[in-house]
Order: sequence, then C-alpha cells, then structure tokens
Amino acid sequence: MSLLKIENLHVKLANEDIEILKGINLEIKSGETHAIMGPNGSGKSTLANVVMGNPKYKVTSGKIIYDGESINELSIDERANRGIFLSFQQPPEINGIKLRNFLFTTKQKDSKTSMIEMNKELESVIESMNMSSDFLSRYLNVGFSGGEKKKNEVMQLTFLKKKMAILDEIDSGLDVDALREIAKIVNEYRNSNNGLLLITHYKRILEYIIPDKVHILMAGEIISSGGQELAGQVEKSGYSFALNESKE
Amino acid sequence: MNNVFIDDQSFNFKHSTRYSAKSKPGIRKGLIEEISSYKNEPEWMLKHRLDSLEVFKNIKEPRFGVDTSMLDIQQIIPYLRPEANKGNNWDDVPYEIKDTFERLGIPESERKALAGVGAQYDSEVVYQNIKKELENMGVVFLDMETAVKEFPELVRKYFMKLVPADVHKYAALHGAIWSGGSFVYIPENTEVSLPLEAYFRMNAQGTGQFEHTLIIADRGSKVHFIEGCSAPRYNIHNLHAGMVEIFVKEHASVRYSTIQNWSKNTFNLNTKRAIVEENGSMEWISGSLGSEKTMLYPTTLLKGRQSHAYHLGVTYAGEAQHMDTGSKVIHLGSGSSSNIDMRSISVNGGWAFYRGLLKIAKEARNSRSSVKCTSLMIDNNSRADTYPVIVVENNLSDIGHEAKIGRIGEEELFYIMSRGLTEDDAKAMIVRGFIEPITKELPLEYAVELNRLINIEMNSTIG
Amino acid sequence: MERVIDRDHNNMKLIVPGNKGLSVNDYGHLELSSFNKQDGKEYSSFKMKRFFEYEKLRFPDWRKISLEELQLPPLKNAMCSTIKIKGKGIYKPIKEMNKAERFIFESLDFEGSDRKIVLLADIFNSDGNIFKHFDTPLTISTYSGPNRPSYTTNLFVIPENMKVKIHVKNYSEGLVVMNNRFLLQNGSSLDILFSGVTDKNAFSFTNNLYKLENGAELRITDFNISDGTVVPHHFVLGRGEKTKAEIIPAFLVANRGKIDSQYVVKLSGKESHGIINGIGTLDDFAKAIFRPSIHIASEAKGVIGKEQSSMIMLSENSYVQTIPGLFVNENDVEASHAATVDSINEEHLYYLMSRGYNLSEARKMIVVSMFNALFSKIENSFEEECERMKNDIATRID
Repeated sequence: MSLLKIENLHVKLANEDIEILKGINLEIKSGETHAIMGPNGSGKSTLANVVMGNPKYKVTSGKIIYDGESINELSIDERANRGIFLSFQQPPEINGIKLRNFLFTTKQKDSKTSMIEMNKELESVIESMNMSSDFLSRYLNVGFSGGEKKKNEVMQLTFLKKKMAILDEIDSGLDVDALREIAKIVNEYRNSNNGLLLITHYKRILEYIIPDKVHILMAGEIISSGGQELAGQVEKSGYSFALNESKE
Repeated sequence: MNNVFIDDQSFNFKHSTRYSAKSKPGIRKGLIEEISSYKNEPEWMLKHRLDSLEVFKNIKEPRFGVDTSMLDIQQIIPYLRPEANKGNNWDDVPYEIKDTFERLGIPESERKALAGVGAQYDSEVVYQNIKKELENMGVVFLDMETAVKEFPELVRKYFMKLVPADVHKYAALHGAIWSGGSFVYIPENTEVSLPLEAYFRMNAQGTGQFEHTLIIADRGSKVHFIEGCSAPRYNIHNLHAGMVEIFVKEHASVRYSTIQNWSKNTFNLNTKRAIVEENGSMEWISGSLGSEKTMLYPTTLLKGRQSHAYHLGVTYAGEAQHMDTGSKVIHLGSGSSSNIDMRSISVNGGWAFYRGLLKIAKEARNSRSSVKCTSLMIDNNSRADTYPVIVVENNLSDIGHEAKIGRIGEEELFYIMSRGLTEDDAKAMIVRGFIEPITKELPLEYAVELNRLINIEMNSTIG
Repeated sequence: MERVIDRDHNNMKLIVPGNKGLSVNDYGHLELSSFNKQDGKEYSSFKMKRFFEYEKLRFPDWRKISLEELQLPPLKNAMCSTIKIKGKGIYKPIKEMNKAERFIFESLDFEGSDRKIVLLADIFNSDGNIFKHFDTPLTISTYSGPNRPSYTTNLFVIPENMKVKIHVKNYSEGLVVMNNRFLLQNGSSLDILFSGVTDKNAFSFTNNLYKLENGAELRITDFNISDGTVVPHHFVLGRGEKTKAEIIPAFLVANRGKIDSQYVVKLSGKESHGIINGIGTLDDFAKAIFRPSIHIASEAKGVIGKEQSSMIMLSENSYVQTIPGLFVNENDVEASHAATVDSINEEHLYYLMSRGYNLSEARKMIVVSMFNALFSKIENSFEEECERMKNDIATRID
C-alpha cells in the first residue's frame, strides 16, 4: 500500500521567488526504504522539510499524499500526529524544556498510555540504545554533542512510533561506530508497516541500511532512480554520471 | 495567537464578606488615628504614621515609570477590616474567608510543605500559625500588629529604617496607612528548613492593601519566605502599596519568593529592600504576572564584605498591562557579588519595561556582577524595553551585562510541532521552558502554580 | 520633533524624568537683534520662531555632568569654522536658506542632548552652511578659545546614490556648540568621522540628527579626547527600508574630564541594521556617561539591532555610568546588547611585563591596541586622521 506519495511537487522559498523543487514524483509503499542522494543544494533537505510542512517553503503546485489523503493543507503537528517523523539535520537547542516532559507531552496527544507506562517504555528505549537516562532530565538538545543529537532524534522516532520516518542526513558528522549504532536502531524500526526515507550525501550509510530504491536529486529534480547499485555508481563517478545519463 | 491570552478566571471568585470596619475613601488624619487606636498601637507608631502622612502630603509623583494619573488615591478605601479575629486555629476563620483561602490552596500547602503560614484578608491578618518546634527554637513569625506590641524594641529599631517614608510617594502613603503583614525573626545560627509563607488577598473593590513585611535574619541563620498575592477582578482600581524590609545579618541567608497575581485592575506600587551584612546572602525570586500597572524593583544593598545578591525574576505583560519592573543592587562592601537574571514575556499588546540599577560604589573593591535580561515577544503588538543603569566607581571590579529581545524562534517552533504539538501548545511549551530557571527555584506547589498561570494565560490544554 | 523614547504604547504611557533648570547668564533680545543684519527672510523668521522657544527654556541641571561652570562668552567674540573641500562642492550659508531648505531643516528637528543647547546654536550661530551636491572628502574644523565661543549649525543633504566622506574636527579651549542635520536620500552613503579634543575648563556640545531614506548607509565614528566637558549626541533615524547604520564611539577621558555621550539608533523601516560598538577609557578623576540605545518600531520586520560596549577604568578615582537601552515594538527582530566595565586585563599586563615592558609601557600598549582594533575598521577611509588619533592617545596614556 502506498504510504507516502509525492506528485509533481513544485516548491519555492516562502519569502523569495526561488524555485527549489521542480516537479518531484516519488512513491514509498509500506515496508519500503528509499534513499535520496544528491549534492549540496540539490533540494534534498527541502523535500524532507516540505513533507513535514516547514513554513519556510511554499508548495506552488503538486500534491503530497500520505496514507491515501492529501496533506498539503495540514499543519505541522497534524502531519506529525498522522505518523510522519522528520529527523532534523541540525536539531535546535531549546533551553528550559526537559527531554522527558517534551516526549511525554507529545506522546499523550495520540495515545492514552499512562504516565507510568510511558516512563517504563521510555526508560527501556533509552536503555536499549545505550543512552544514559540523564539525557531525559537535560534540556532539549542543549549541550548535546553532534552524535548525541542524532541519536536523540532516532530515539524519539522509536519512542514515538511514527509510521513514516524521514531521516535528513542522519549520518553527517558521525564516525563509523556511531553510524553503525544508529543504523542498528533504524533497522530495528523497519518493518512491513513503516516507511523510511533516507536523505544523504554519502553512500556510506546505505551499506548499513539497505534501501529498496535509490533516487538521485539534482537541481530540484529526480534525475535518476534505481536500486542499491545506483549509490555505488555515485561513489565511483560522482553525481555527474547521473546527469550525463539523464541527458542521454 | 488570537484570543489565546485570557484573563485568569480561577482567581476571579468573589465572596461577600462581612466587614466590621470599612473606612471611607481617601487618606485623612482622623482615619489614621482611628486605625492606630483600633490596633492599640504605642505612641511612637502613631507618630510614625502621622509623620509619614506629612511627607505624603508634600511629595510629588515619581518622575519615571508607569502613568498613575488614573489612580485617585482619594477614591481608594484604605482600610477594611474583615469580621474575624486573628488566630492560629484555622477552624475559627469565618467560612467565606476560609473558603477563599482553601480555593487558593493555602491550608493544604501548610500541612504539606511549610513551616508557617500567615493569611491576610484585605487589611487584616486572619490567620497566623507556625510549627511548634520552630517557636520553641525562638523563631518569631507574627502578624505585624502583634509584633509591634510584643517586640517593640526590635520593630522600632528596624521598621521603615531601610525604606524611609520620604523615598517616594507610595512609601510615604504606606508609612501612614500600613496594616497587616508579617514579622519574622530568625535567631542566630538557626536554620528554618521549610519555607514560611504569607498570602495576601484583596477581596473588596476599590480598596488598598498596605501590608508590611519585616524580616530579620540574625547572624548565621537561614530562611525562605514566600509571598503570594491575588485579588478578584473589579472595574475600578485597587491599589497595592506594600513594603518588604529584610535585614540579613553576617553569614545569614534569606530567600524571598513572590508570585504576584493581582487582578488586572490593580496598581501594584510596591517597595522591597534588603540589606546584607558580611558574608550574608539575599535571593529574590519573583514572578510578576498580575496587575494593570506595576512598579517594582526589589533592591539589595550589599553592605558587608563578601556579601551576595541573587535576583531572578520573570515579568509577564499581557493585554493592557504595563509592567515596569526590574532590580537594583548596590555594592558597598568589598568583594561583594551579584547575579541578576531577569526575564520578561510581552504579549497581546502588553508592555514589559525592565529598569535596572547596578551600582559599584567606590569602596566596593573587587566586586563582581553579572546581569542578564532576556525578553520574549510573542507578537508584534507588544513592547519590550530594557533600561539598565550601570554605575561603576572603582577600577577593581568586574561587570558584565547582556540583554536580548526577540521572539520564539521559527526553527524551535517547527521542531516541536514536528513532534505533534499544535502551534499554541508548542509556544506554551517554549514559554514554560523560558521561565524554567524561575520555576526550578520555587517550591513545587508554587512552581506548579506558576506553570498553571502561564498555561491559563496561554490558554493551553497541556499540563 | 523627533524624540528619543516613544512614551506611548497601546493607551499606556511612560513617565520620563525632566530636567530642572540652571541659571546661566543667557543671551537675549540684544544678541538676537545685533546679529541678524545679513539674515535672509526665511532664516529670520526661522530664527525668531526658535527664539520664542529658546527664551522660555533654561539650561539643564544635569546631576552627573554638571553645567554649573558653563558661561556664555560675549557673542561678538564668536569664532567661525573653516571648511576644506576637495573637489567641487556646492554649499551656502545657512542665513541664505530658501523655503525648501527651511522645510528640510524643520523636518529634521530634535531635542539633542538638551533642547536649549540645540536652539542656542540654531539661533546664535556665527556660521553654518547648507551642503548639497558635494564631492568628497569634506573637512570642517572648529575652534573655540577662552572667551571665544563657536556656534555652528549645518544642514547636509546627501543626494541619491552619492557616497560622501566627511571629517569634523573640533578643538575646544572654550565653548563649542555644533548642530548637524543630515538627510541621506535613497541609496546614498555617508562615512563621517568626528574627532574632538576638549581642553580643561572647555565645553563641547555636538548635536547630530541623521535621517536615512531607503537603502541609505551611514557610518559614524565619534572619537573624543577630553579633559573638559564633552557632550556628544548622535541620533540616527532609519526611516527607509534596508538602511544600515553603524556607530563607533570611542573616548579617552582623563584628569577631571567628563563625557556624557548619547548614541541613538531608531529604526522603523524593514530589514534595517543598526550597530553601536563603543569603547571608552577613563583615567584619573574622569567621569563618563555612555548611553547607547536602539529603538525598533512596530512593523520594522527583519531588523537587526546590536549594541556592544566596553569601558576600561584605568584609575580608581574614575566614574562610569553606562545605560545600554533597548526599546522594541516588533517581535520579528534581533535586538541585543552586551556591556562590560572593568580595568585593564591583568593577565595581559603580566604577560607584557614578563617580556620586559614596565607597567606604564604595558598599560599604554594595551590601551593603544584597543583603539587600534577599532580604528582598523575606518583606516581605509581616514588614514591620516587615524594616525593622528593614535598619536594623540599614545601621548595621553602614561
């Protein structure tokens, strides 16, 4: 079943007349993992943010369909509560909000789980990720290292149990060990109901999280789609190969 | 964020209370004599009142701050005595008054987490109680009138010595007409581990409340005093011109926490000062949420060597609220230090004005101070100003000041909403995070209360 | 008239303290009539109007920087400023103002550090000019001697898209009052340097108003060395959109010198920038009041306003008061300030002395380096002047 479907999506910056995405088509079915690769500035992160509803961008035409319904008009939180999750490339540091309270408050929105149960669940998620439970009493991302921030993002995904995960450069700035650890958590998240969209600059992560499909995004367009092998080609000959291919 | 910020309804209940005395509006010599005689005051206190009245008659309005021209003191009822006797037995308090305080959670918190409670209803204290073991240790916690009679030397020595009547118009008015408040004496090397609390309630319309709080923390002692205030909303102005004087002796430490939630027809023109001796420490923790107009700048005089001041506060300026608040720290002792962290939230057209004074006197060598002001503007119909005056008179001190005014970050909002919170809930969460440093310092009941007030103000459903 | 602080907001009102008056032997009708012989028609009526206001006011009774010693010398002794202009320039005496120029002049009205003092130079100026269409650079020098005052009132209109560089040099051994009003038309830019030396017993007041239209850019460097009393007031009104204003105040006050400086940036156009970045050093019995403030009007979205200041106290007898104000009416902005007051960094001193410098050499080095860092920003525009100012500082610090 189609989980996330993007149809001919055109996107501009909200404040400036600059088109970033120029007709994106993409379909992710339940249980599938897709990867979008592309050089800096190709529009990868924009795509992730537009699906989440970031007000910095404006959809000028096209549709985002989630679970069979257009979500173009939905607010950010409505999208989240339907099951979309975005792991941020650079999660903001927000003082005064403790991670635990943050997660409980949002979790309470779509489940009737009691506080005690939530706490148990959260503690076990944290433990399974080898994270210290100190994190829960710390302020949201404040003083977290780059790696800790990324781990915190996938931890939230696991705890909040969202159906469609978009991981925006979850691999950037991580060493091999940290990458492996995160890949393990993400692989555990994958099942026949969940969809996963990986946004990445490098092939490396795709060795740990094997995608069903790979798309190459350049200058706001998907210029090539294929299987895992496409990532290998990027690694070998850079993004330009795909461009040449598309011209042919 | 339209219609998000509403008036706080939960404090807005009124009781028809029976009063045994209700003065006519206005300040007159005869009235002051009457009050003094009712209170059975010694001659010196009556003289103090009448002297203050003379000062009041000749003094001008403050030349800065909020506009008080709408406030007609001659229309204010300065004295209102509920039909109740002071006592330490909760059961003796008349039903309406008891119900009022019970709704505000006063006796409940006393049982749970307080060392003592005083409750003032309009002009008089109706209940004052302290745990027996503290009384046995020599801790004094009395209503001010009783203290005048039982501890005349102490009161006479300290009363309005830190804030003399001629400091400003409302101090003079207070000196003439003060009624109620608490007197606290903590003996040498005595630590009161649970907080003492005083709760002030203005129940009737068009009245003034002028309670006086005097705290003397003797050498090496330690105490935490909490003050709460509220009033139901009326269409005509109420006036609160209370006064707090705190004497922190050598090596003593005092923390004074306030949650001010006067109704939005109240002029809150309050004066709070502390003087700190060698190695003493004074902490002011304040949440100013209510009132129509406020002028309040808790002041610490760091007189002794190595004395310390900590001012931490949040001011909330909502619709039609003009909040002129701040802090003053005057360093006189060498090696003294201060840390000031003041925050404000302005929303729905409100105006938060931070007015600060930091002075390092010539003799306060090797002093240190750090001042931080942060203002959060929820919308662009509101206003946030900071006006800190920093005076330094020697070259051996180290002073840093920073301020920031801005709105809720779009990225932060997007992040929180992307986890499933509505825009309003996400904003409320960020605002709560913004005041977390203050809530963190309050006893649990008050922290919950402050968050609840902010939530009510932000009309959020989350807890 | 342009006011620094907006006192009203949504039916609420701010009370702002006023000044009590001071008795100074003042100019009156006699001086007014004896000095209006060459005045044009517009200027006479302009002056008369101002005089009615002037005679009702008194000199301010400032508490910290007292003007009690202020005396107005006989007007007939007044000095004129000298104007050096490289390249072509069109300017004419203020006395010859026409209707249009008078209109501009009156639209640029303000209180200055004190209204009475602004009016003094507007009315009793011995010279003053209207500058239009001028190439750069322009240098204006004023001198006042004991018993020889200098009163100047200038109007500058910087035409669209023109870039202008001005150096205002001031040396006071007596009383100087200088008013400058600037209109920066769309897309123009002004780079202006004030360098002032005020001797002991001398008084120097400069009152400057700058109005910026769309896209105008302004940089003010205000450098003062004072053993006397100096009162600089610079008020920038960013009315247009995307304006940029940067103010660089720098002062060195010593002996019994005093400075009461005020730098105001008030922005009402979208996406404008205002920066005030100042340093000051105080030696001996110096007194300084430093008042930077940034004001952002409602709907001025995307504005960035920043203040920064560091005050260095070299002597245990000096006094400094800083009041970094922020007044913000719009939430889509970034507004901040940071201020420090301390003495010379002891670690730096220690380091230099460990390399063989004696205390006074090390002190001098540190203070000079502080100013150097600041001057490096303007050296491209005012190379010669920077060198001279550095020398002035070095000879002052011992």
